Amino acid sequence: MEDNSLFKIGRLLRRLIVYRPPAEPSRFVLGEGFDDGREEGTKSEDGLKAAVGELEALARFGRRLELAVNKAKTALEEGEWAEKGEVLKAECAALEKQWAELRPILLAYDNRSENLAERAISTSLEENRRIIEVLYSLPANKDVVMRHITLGTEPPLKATLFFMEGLTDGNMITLGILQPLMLLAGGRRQAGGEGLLKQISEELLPGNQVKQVSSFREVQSGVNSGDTVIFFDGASEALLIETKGWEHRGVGRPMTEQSIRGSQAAFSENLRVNTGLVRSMLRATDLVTELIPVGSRTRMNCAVMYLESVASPKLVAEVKRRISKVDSDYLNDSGHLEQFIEDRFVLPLPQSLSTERPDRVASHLAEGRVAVIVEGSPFALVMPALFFTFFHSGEDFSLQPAAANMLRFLRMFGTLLSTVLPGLYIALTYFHQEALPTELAMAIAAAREEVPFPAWFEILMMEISFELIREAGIRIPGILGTTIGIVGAIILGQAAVAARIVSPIIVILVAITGLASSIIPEFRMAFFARLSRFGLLLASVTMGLVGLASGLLAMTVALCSMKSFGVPYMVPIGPKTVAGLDVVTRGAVWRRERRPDALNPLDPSRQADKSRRWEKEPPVGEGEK
Amino acid sequence: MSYQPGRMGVAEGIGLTFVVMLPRVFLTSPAVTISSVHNLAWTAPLINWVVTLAVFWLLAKSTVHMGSDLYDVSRRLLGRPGAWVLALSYAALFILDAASLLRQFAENTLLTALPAAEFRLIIFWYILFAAVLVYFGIEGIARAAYLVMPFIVGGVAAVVLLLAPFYDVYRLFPWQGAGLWTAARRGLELAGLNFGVLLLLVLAPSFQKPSTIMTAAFFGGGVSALLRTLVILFFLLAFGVGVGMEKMLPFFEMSRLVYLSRYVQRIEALFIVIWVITGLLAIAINIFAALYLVARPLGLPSLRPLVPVIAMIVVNLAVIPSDIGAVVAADTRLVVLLSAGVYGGPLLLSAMAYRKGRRKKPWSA
Repeated sequence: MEDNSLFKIGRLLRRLIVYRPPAEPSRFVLGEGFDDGREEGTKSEDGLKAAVGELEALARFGRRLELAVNKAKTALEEGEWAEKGEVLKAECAALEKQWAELRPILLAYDNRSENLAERAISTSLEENRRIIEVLYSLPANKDVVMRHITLGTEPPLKATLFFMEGLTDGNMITLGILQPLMLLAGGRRQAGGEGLLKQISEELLPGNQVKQVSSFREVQSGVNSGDTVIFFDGASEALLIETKGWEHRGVGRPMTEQSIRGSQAAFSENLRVNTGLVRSMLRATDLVTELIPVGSRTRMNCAVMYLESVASPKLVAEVKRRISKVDSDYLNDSGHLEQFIEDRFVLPLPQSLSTERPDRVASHLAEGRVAVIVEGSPFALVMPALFFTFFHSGEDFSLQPAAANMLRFLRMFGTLLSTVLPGLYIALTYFHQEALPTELAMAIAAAREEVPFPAWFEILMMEISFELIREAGIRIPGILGTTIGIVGAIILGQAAVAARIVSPIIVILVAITGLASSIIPEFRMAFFARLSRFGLLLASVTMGLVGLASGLLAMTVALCSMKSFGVPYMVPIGPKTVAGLDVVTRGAVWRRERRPDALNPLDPSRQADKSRRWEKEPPVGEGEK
Repeated sequence: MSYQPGRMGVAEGIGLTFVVMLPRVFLTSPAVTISSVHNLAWTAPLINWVVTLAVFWLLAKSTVHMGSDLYDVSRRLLGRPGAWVLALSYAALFILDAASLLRQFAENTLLTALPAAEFRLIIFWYILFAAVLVYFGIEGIARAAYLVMPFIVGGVAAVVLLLAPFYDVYRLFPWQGAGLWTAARRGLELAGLNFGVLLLLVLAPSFQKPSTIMTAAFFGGGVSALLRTLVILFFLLAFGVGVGMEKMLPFFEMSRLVYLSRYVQRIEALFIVIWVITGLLAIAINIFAALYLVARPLGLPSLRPLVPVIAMIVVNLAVIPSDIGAVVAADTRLVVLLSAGVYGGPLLLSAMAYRKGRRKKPWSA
């Protein structure tokens, strides 16, 4: 068929309408095209031939070496060493000569490898030093210390220590590594290889953790975590000795989760101290701490803690899977990790409980949850976390149920106020004035009489001012921040009312809302309440109570359709499950026989049905009468 | 969002059934019932619920062992063309129900809550939020429905209790109203008010067990029918038949009448929250059911791309009636049509299942 104008127009339209992915994806570097700065990918034929020749030479050497070894083995087994010894010695000499010729080729291949970290440790001390110098940018990098020593063994043995200043304990290195190696190593040593390293680690090094490593990846991982590595001449492995000893904050009091009763210990930045704190509060044999390094560049350790006999294996596996599959070069905080491993949510709600209290972590682990502690972060993550978990505080179970429940109701009421109050005020005063008692309606009208702005604008203005004061109070250091917060709020509110920019009732409303949002124990949940307040305010401005109801319903449905690590977010009320007497209210501790059903614990029973067994027995002394 | 609705239990089933059957109690439906049955109007919800439950039980009993949804059951019993016709017919009924509810709630919002608002904005608002709810999926909707159920029941109960000073038992007399036969006939005609209960069979696989479906239908629909009965009964007690027939929105009028003291008066605005939530949930559930019934025969892997399309169809259908009078008349006819849906499909499928069972017997014997 002829290619006429109609077909051309058709093709043009098709090109316009049909989406085609761009041939060259946009790149980060500005102003560069696809081929900029790239070398030619083709090799010349001569280069290939040379490479093949080199490889063939290495293969020939390998075959010849294998033959020689077999000959020597046969001669030894058949007792013909006296006859064939000289021939074999000559063969060995020839092989050594050939190896000396071929070694540069092998080194050249090694050097061509782009990723030094993936290389195996060389038997050549010089080569190992060179790789370390490249990896750690020596001598420019002054944090890294390389110490060359010679062990007084027979024959003497050259070695190189390598560690990171500031991360290691100097005394431990001097007394636990250098002193024994340099002063105590006096006997005859083994020739090399595994035997040598085993002899040194078993006879000379008193450190409590010494392990053999064979790749530079392991070396880097250890050194970056405060360990010291020792390379020995002639050994294809190195010794990694635990010498961690960096300065860190001690165990302090919780700053953001203070409590009147219960433990007063808080996590610090040291991973091992943190895991130890949890272990000291949950002294169970099957409390497992698995370390998973995250970050292709920094390799920060993340401790995954769980009670093996309680936590659902699927949950543990899922948490570990998500952490191990994080492909990022740098991780600096548990909040950072959390965003990598959480499900994608519609609402900006936390999916794991972030706590600085080891007692809270311990109690959640005992229920069958999993905790993750990131190296360098004083906050642990507990997962899965459900909606109602964020309204519980660390001391809830240290108080009597009545007191704890009253506080919980207060928190829920505070959350409701914080979220709904501004929107409700606008809806009622704008659209449904008849719902207000007449006196109140008139009082509001009188207070607003001289204010030149609509009420929603007043609220918005005051809410933003409140957020500014709150943020400034946090950022300004020390006591000045608190002072500025209080003074700012009072002066600003008073001045705004005096200037007739806002009505007094709005100041009261915003103050109540702000206070109410501060009552929520979890900062991220409080932040969500602050955010949703603006959304509901907008809905109320547009549609009054209809808007408010629509917004609340959409939020509820969104909450009900969310999951945290596979567990529905609104459990145990949506869907309904066995709650273990700890949802909005909490029951008496002695009545909490079962663990939360939604966590699928391996052992659903927490305690005996009659946990107060003493009630079944006569009081002390009664039997004696 | 895959067309698979996820796993739900008795609580979710109760929530869905309750909410999807309730919304007309906040609309003109009670007044329409009173106008035809008079003093005996309060029996209509009970009669149609008992009949609906019987039909539902018959269908569930004969088909639920197949462990499939309504479309699969129809395909097995009626063949693929029959299943297509049935699924698309029911999808159309769900869409019409959603459209009718949308229009009525929008009109009543204009009448009661936002008299100065632009009608198109209200329609847009409702359909936008309903579409957002559908986007989240039926699991979330069902759980939210179950969560809000106590508040709805509590709200209705509060209005009924707070009106105690206005009740006059003599307003229920003459107790036969327009006649027993009329009450029974009208009760049967109004089975369409319970059309939503079929949703449990549409989504049967997600409820996993036949007993879950039956329990959810019994309690969810039962509470809803009971509330409808109570609202009509107490509305009659407060207003009587004469005045009751004239009221456009009986429940709203009841809440307007509440007066406890000078500080607790004119609380009808607060009940707007309840009926908005009920209305939005019901519209969203109807749209989801329609989407599901369209997606199954067409073998679509996902429902989400269709949400805006169905939402637009619902809006277009909703704005067809010219005024509120036409809307009420159309809804009255729609309820009869839905009644045909309640009786027709289930009875046909039950008969086919019975026939198939009988045919198989000699072979299996």
